[in-house]
Amino acid sequence: MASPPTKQMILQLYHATLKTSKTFSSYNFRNYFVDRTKDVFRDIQKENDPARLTTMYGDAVKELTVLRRSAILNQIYGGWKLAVEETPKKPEDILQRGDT
Amino acid sequence: MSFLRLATRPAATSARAFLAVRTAQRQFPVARWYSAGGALNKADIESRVLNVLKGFEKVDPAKLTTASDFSKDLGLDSLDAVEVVMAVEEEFTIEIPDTEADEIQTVQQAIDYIAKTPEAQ
Repeated sequence: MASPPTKQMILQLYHATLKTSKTFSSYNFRNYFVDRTKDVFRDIQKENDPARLTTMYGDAVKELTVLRRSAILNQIYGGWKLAVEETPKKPEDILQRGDT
Repeated sequence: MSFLRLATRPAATSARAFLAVRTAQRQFPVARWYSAGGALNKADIESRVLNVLKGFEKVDPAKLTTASDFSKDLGLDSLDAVEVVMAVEEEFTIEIPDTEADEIQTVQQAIDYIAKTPEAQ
């Protein structure tokens, strides 16, 4: 059986996964995967059993490879920006009725 | 044969043009103005790094100084520290390699790393 991952390995995987999650171009996917990554790694942090930890780490590594491919595809076919992502207009730029 | 002559002729003319340019340059030295970005100043880096940290919910702004340690003073665990380093990376549009990122444990270390990184902007 493989030895349990070190703290450093987990942190580096966290860094890589979070970074990949942030490269999704769709707002919904991006935020979902960022939140999910945080949840998954909080669970890993809480886990004390070395055997469970090893399997969780292995799963996270596999997920990272899937996430990388998906992120690239999403960058290509991401679609347009959502209304929530756009920076709010300045008050003087918003047209009022009667401004024609 | 004629094709060869055709193929070599433009090369020859361009070589002559090139030589002409070279002699012109020798007579009038060309001044080049590459606009180097220049390093960021220390105070600027400091305020930007502190601003990044203020964006974290867990960080108490009252305890935040350049000397504070992520885990001891700000109450962040190792996963939060990774997030802080990522936020700093985004702020300065750099990539901090894993070995260096592991060593950043205080605000001052983050500032020092940015100061010695020429790509930071």
